[in-house]
Amino acid sequence: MKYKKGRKRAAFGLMLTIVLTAMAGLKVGSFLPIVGDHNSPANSYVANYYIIHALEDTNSPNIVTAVLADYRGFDTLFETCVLFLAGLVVMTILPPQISPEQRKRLVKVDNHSFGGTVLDSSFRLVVPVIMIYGIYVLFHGEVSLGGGFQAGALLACAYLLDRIIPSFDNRLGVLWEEKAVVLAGIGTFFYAFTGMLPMFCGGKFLEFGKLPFGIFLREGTVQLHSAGILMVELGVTLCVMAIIISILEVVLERTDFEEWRKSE
Amino acid sequence: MNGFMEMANVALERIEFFLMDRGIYMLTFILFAVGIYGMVVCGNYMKKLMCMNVMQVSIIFFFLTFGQKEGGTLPVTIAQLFSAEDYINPLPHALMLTAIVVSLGITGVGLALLMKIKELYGTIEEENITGKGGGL
Amino acid sequence: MSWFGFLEAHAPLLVILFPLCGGLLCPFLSKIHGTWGKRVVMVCLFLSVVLSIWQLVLVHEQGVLHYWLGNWRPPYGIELAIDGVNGLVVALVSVISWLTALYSSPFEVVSKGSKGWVRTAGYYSILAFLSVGLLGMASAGDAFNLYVFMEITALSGYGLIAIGEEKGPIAAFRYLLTGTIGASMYLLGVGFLYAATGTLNMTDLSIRLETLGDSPLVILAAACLVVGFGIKMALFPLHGWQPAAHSYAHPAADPMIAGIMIKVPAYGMLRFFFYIFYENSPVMELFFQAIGIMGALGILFGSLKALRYSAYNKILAYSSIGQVGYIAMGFAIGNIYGLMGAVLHILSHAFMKTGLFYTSGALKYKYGIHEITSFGQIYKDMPTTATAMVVCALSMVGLPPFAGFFSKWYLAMGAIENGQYLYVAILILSSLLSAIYFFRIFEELFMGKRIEERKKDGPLPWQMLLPLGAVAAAVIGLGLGNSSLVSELLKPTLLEVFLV
Repeated sequence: MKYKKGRKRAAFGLMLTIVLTAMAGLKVGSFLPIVGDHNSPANSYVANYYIIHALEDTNSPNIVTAVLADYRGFDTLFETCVLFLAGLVVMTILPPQISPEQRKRLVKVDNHSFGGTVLDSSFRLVVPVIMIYGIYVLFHGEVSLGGGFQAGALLACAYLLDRIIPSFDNRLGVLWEEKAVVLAGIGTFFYAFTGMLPMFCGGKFLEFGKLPFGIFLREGTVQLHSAGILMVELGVTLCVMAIIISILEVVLERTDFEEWRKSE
Repeated sequence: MNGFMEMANVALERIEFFLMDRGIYMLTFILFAVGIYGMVVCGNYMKKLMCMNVMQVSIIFFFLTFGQKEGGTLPVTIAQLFSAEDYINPLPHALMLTAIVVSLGITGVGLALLMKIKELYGTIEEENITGKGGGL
Repeated sequence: MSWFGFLEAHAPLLVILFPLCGGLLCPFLSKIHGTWGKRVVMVCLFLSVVLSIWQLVLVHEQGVLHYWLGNWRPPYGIELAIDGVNGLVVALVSVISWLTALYSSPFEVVSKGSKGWVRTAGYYSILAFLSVGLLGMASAGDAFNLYVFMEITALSGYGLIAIGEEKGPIAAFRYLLTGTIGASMYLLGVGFLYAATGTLNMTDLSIRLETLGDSPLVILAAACLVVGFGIKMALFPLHGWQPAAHSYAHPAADPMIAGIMIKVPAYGMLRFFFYIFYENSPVMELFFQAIGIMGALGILFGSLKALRYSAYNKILAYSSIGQVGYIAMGFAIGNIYGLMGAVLHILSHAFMKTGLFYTSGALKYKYGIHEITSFGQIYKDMPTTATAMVVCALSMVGLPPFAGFFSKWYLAMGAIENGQYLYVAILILSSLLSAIYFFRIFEELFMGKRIEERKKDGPLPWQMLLPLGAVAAAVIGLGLGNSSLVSELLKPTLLEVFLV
């Protein structure tokens, strides 16, 4: 009875919040520019520079990628760091509990069916396709819609499917969480290292126009920006993939361990 | 009676125009307020975390709305279109990609903390852990 | 280019980049060998200390340093901007992070098991990232970049609080919820500013906002930013997360979390309200009044609440709420003396609170005690710790010649110049209150009943003694040398802010 009363009060509060915010939103909304306005400050000042100059500056037709990886590459470096840090914090809060030998047994024990025979076998077929698609997305990040984050998520998705369908002999292998975090650190460092390379050639941090690839590409050309963006996306892909895997492994180990301990 | 109908019609028209022009802002503010309200009222830590996500999504919507342009297409350069009028604003999209990744990281850490709390206390209900609070 | 020129050209970036590389490579190096990771982190943080101090000299010689990332012109790219004030904050952050990394090495013994390196690597990596986030927040010249750094700081803070004591995970989770509201409010404020001006660069924002004046969007943005920074710096009604987070964090990282994690957002508030917004408009005056009232209430609340507790960490945590109130009061006073007092208080309180938490960690490390009733005559067993505690506590009370006196002095001067005598009264009253709760600690420390069964196993390791001594020396040094600091760095920079 008390529970129900609390619910009623909460629902009333929710309605009140919505009505009050709607009234405030009417007022606040009238100060903001009309949606879709071409001449609002947000759409006319810095943004137009990007749209007009992105192709000639960075050789990247996808303007969002140009902004993300080149104009505002410093943000993206630390965004990747946020993800790395998230994986690291998860691993530190929930440290591995069991020894490597126990883990090996755990992987063997863990062969409960995931979704019936049909789903299991069709997922096995899907895994290589997802991986190829992930790599495609990685390399086409600057030409079309795609990029490091999506590619990393796809590759991690392939790993995830491979990990949770019942064991078969040609598994990809298991990447344990602490190794995954190490890999993510190296991937993010690769990003930072790409940024550092131009510093040794007289450029600024992340100035891709001065990357020291004189053998392959002429200096000062926009192609160097493409090379830089690609390297950056590679680092991001490694980090995102490894972090998603590490979080997954932390969770799997905890749940599997419980079940395994019950069955023993 | 006729005058009243006319006034109502005018008012309705004005509301319609407002909703067309700026209604989406109102919706994002409501989403933001609902998120914060849920974080305050809910007694379950998992629900609090979900409300936090709602709040973050509302901010992502907010940024994306003022990046819109009428008649603009995706910000991927096409050979025939060179004027800035033809593409929507790429900057909010790039910023919000960052914000999405940040919120993903925070949600991951929050879930890990919840697993730890569950291990330590055996529950994620606020009233069972702190001995006060409650609600939903 | 010579090495010297290279360092000079990239100084603002390298200060952030060194700890970043240390933090990223720490897990890898720790996997190879148990102690390599932590050594690399310490070396990187030390390099950052040297560079940040040298950068301060550069700022003194050349004026504001701008570093364009990727060599893109500022409104289009991101820049780092270092002037006299945030140069000082950057130096403060890097010094305290290095000392804290050194201080935590006795706590983190590499365990024998195969997974021992995971915890060590995690701890030092997160510590390095906390330093990166704070350094970035202090030196960012772009509003959105500041948000990213804010989230890095917050995430590493959640990690360090969660691996602390038993109640750590709950404190961390509550901080995660509150801190995310704060960061979201900040982002909302930046969104309003972006909608009003179309730019994110701070210098550019200040130019474009001048023409806008008191437009409603700017007022909304200011309100959002007050709430956002207020939550992050634990300003009075928004401080709910702070006492638990500061008392249950990992004892080795607690000095850094309590000392500087709430100071850098305070600097962010200063930057937005004095560098970016047009501070002389009547609406902004209202905002400053609100901040001042929040600060003043926070001073009284924090001091009164600190009187009620007998756990050392809790006393320190509640006194932090009061001390942040002083900084907010400095903003509210708003003339040159008020601002100088606020900046000096950021510096001096960072050193004082870090020093007090070092002593708390040392007591916990040696005897596992945290109630002040068990402090009886501990000065005989741990003389250095007791000395550092006395120096920092007297400075908190505001006795000359320690640093805390001079920041309060400048605040009082500013308040008298503006005729805000209420603030002066609150300053004096709160000094008395803090004298009461610190003398309670002194009473136990020097005159309490001695507990005999404390075992004697030599002094503290040097890694803990050095930070204790350094912080106590800094508190005295900042007190004695504050006039030259003010006249050489703070006054010229802040006068420029007022002229623009």
